[in-house]
Amino acid sequence: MTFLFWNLYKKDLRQNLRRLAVRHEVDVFVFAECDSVAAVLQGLNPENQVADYSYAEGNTAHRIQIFTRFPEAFFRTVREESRYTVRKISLPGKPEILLAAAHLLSLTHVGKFDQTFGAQQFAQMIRDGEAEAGHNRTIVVGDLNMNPFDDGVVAANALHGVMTKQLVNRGQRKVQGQTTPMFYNPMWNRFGDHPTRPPGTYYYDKTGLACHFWNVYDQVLIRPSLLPYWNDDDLHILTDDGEVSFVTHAGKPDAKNVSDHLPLLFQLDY
Amino acid sequence: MNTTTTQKASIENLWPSDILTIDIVPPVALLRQQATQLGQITQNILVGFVETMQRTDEETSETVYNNLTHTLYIVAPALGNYRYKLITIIHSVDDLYPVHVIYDAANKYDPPKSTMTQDMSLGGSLENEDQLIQRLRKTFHHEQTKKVMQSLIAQSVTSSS
Repeated sequence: MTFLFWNLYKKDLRQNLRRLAVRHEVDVFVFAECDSVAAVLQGLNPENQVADYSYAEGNTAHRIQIFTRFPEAFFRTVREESRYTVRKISLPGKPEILLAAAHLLSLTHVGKFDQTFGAQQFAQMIRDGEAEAGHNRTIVVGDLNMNPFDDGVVAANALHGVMTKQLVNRGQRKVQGQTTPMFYNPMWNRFGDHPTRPPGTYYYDKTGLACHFWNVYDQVLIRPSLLPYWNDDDLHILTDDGEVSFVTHAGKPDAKNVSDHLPLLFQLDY
Repeated sequence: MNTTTTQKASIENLWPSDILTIDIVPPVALLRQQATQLGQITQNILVGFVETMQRTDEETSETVYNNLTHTLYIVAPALGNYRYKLITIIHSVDDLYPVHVIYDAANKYDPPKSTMTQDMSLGGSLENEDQLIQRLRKTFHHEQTKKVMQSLIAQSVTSSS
């Protein structure tokens, strides 16, 4: 199953989306800052062709939009708030999985405490959804507005994302009397220079003594129960759709013509 | 134990063997096909949805057995899954046809107060698949239906999520 997550920056990117859908045979699109559901549908379902993609409407998660090639009935909302949604994906003959998607708070709008607390709430909602579903085959994706090393992603009472498979195979960790499950966060090794991939998903050059410049705000995290279906090599930060580049000549996200974030493409081989 | 197993194995299947042989397109299948087609022609900006229920008598609120109603809705996913009820048909469980139209938004038929046979004829009685197809075509092409669909598409295209 192929997923693509992208913060669309409220742009009409229907042509890019169409090319991405065809090129990567995407099964599930998850978007943040998607301003027009209809524009996306028009992009993913060109006129006079079979309309493959439908909108998996949520209830209250206005900041996350999901489109899928699977019948909408296979995507059931388990838990939802305006910034995040937990969906149950039940495909015939496949083990059910949970897809938790989020666009979390940005430091542009709130303080560090609020941001971390928001991540804790999201993590608790995931755990509640897992308890209700009776399993923890969960995948998290979204614009977390935090890096993999930030408290809201790392803390045990938040998303509890760890950087290696060896660590996550512990499954859970007891801290201050409370045991919470872990996520594997493959985004740790997506930082910095690499011959074939960008140094992050989001670039921000702020004034101040400490600046990371490149950030990995767009992330995917998976529970250890899904590791048998996961391959790090199937995770990509995309820089083009085959025709149009998503980065400027300087290699930064082309916010003027495309989006200020780069999309994430990943697969779950199940 | 062995005796029980032998007894189970020897019980004859009493059900008829030809129940899977169906040479007629059920009305609900026609509606579902049209629901899918709506998505195809509108790039899934509008989709169809068919709801099947047992009929409830509106006067007594009691379930009326031995008949099924199928309602075709036009759904606008980009407008919070807004549903527009387009047409409702009813038929008995044992006979797929005739079908009675008991609600038709385009042709302004009101739902009957009762499910008595004479009231069903308010919306028209359709004797076979061809007549149902003709009737659906008429409803889909009605100016009122087109106006609703155009309105929903226009609002979907301009809506901000």
